[in-house]
Amino acid sequence: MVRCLFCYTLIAGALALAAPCARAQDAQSVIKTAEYALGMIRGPQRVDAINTLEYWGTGSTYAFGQSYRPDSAWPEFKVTYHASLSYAVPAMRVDVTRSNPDGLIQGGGGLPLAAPQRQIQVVSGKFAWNESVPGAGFTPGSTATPTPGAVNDRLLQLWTLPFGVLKMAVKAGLAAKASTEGGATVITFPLSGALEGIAMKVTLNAKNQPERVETRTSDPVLGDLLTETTYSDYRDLGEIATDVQFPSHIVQKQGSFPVLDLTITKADPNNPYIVFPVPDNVEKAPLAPLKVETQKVSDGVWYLTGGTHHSVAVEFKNYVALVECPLNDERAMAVIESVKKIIHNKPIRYVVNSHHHFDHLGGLRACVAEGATILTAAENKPYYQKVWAMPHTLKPDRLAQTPKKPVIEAVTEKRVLTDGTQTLELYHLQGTNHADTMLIGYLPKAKVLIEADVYNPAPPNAPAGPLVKENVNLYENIKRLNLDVQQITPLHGRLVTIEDLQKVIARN
Amino acid sequence: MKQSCPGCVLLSVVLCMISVPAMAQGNQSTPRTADGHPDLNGLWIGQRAPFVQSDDPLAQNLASRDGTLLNFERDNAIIRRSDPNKPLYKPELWEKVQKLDQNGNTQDPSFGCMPAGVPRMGPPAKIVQTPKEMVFLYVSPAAEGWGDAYRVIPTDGRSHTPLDDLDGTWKGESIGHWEDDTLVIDTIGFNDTSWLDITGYFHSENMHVVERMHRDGDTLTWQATIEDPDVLIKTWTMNTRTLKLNPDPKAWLTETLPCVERDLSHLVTKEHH
Repeated sequence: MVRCLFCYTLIAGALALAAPCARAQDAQSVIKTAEYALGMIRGPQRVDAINTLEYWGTGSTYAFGQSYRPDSAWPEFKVTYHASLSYAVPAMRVDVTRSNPDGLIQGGGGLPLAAPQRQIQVVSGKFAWNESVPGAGFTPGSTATPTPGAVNDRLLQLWTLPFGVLKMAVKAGLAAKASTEGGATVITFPLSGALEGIAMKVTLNAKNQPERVETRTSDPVLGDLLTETTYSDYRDLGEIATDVQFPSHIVQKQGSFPVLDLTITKADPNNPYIVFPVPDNVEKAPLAPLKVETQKVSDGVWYLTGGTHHSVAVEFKNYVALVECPLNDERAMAVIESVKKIIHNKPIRYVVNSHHHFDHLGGLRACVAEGATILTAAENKPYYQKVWAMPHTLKPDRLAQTPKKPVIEAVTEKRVLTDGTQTLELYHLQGTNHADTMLIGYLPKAKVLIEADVYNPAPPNAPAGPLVKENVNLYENIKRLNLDVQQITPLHGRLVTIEDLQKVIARN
Repeated sequence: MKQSCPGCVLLSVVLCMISVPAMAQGNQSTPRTADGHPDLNGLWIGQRAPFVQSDDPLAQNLASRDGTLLNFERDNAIIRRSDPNKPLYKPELWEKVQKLDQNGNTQDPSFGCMPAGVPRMGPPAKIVQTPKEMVFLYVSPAAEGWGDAYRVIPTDGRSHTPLDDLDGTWKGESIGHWEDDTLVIDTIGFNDTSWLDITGYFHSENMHVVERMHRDGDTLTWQATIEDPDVLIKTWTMNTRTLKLNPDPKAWLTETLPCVERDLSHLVTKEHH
């Protein structure tokens, strides 16, 4: 005990020297107060002692951009959620098991699930990957799949957590500003490192804990996308008491609708053993090149593949109709350039949009800039007009750089493009729970069907999957419309025949 | 609980830091022994300060968070675990490390008065150097082990005993040699009972430790690398420790109080102490 008192005496002296100055209520003192409020600042050295952290929760995640109808909420998954992170690396592993929501299941994003689905997403420094099991790549039989495009989104999740925002605010130094809005203290500051260019706004609650975090990032559809995260009901949720305060409830919204709603059941901020070794195959993975492969399906019909989302180019006498301009500006431009190479001196007059899900809609702005008329389901027209008018200042795309008024033609049940040499029929797909605005295309001359998402053919010789009701519904629509289909050019997957679809349905 | 205070290791570091300016004024040249190697002889624990008395008024005003001593231990536990330098265990062992750490009060051998072992015992407090062997003397708590300890490390060119012929021990079999001006100590033959640190870092009997010690003026640096392919996916290099020579010719090694475990059964939470 004698020695302990000696220790404590020295600590007392150190504390007196390190006590924060309480005179100026500048941004740094506001941040410091918030750090104290969360229990981050510890020990006689008064250091930020939070490095590694784990938390567990249950609730819902939502598939952003995959709503059943345009302008409706993102579809829900029930989840059990386990996140582990390190601010020193920085790194984060989110281990989620998703299952179907209660009631009628409508929308995309993989719904409905045939069985509960585990997803493990990791980011570590400049690398991101998905794991089949935690630590995949270092365990025999496990798989680590590189996802280099996900690095920044995952890092932003890490730094958006209450501890992360305060660490970033400290790092911003003099660039951090404190103010008062509606009686609440607000801190604004620019992020740094890989997230440079993103500004963060943090609103504190009455206890000086981060209550609301807002960031804006670039999205191909919604432009300068606002992400709002709210934290509430802070507690010491550790099995071993630490006095570190963690929110019991986390809600995150994008595009005004929830993407995450978690009730946190346990948190371990006691710097548990958490590591993020980067597997060799992830570290050495080359960036996937942006490529468009062209395959002539029939006279005047080309299947444009080479990525995750495909397109179909249809040649008419004086113009080209392009079915699908997916993902984003980059993919759209690559597709447009590819069309120009295979069909010379004919403008892309029409671009058909299969449905409103963001992965299928994200490249349309580039096609608008190209001067094409957009053919899409009638319900989509007011939505597209609304979202395309939103600011795209963070990462100006082609349309933002050369503004042009979109020309959108609404399709109800049927629309036919024909000039005597070529015909493309468009139909509203009835009965689907994937997207209420779904169009399918049919080329009567070539007897080719074009569809998105409702039949994604597996690779040849792949084992039979479970029953997919959307496959059956597609086939019923083909029969209802009396379409004489011989081949199908799915906008995901591979070129198949109608017999392939019939086999999938029959074996189920 | 052991008869010692949990913050003393930390305070030892503080003491060393306080004494640095005085040390820096000393002779920075590195002395050598007759055989030409750097002279590592000496007491490497800096200057010791006198203990305060229990009635010291400063102790009554300890400004721990919220003014409680409990928070001092709680803070210390978090800070000790915030070190980002972690050994990389095989993924199937990650959960085991966490469990050991969470249950450190009952699982940590040092918490139950067992020896720290190599490499957890860190650098020695005193070195006695002869042409054919090094004698390392350790004092708790600066050595992060409990109880006074020693190592006698031959530097006469001998080889290790075959691993199969060694009984696993806390300190293993250490053999030293010089690589230029760096003393390299190679150790094998461990038991699998000791930990590498407070945080549940266990190891196997096949652990191989290489310590490197280098004197530069009045500063001694110590670094250990750990290979253990049974449990680690890559070699782990522990944080470098820097020691200052105590220039006081009258400085002495104090006696460590005996470690007697008597409070463990009274602990009702998993909080670390």
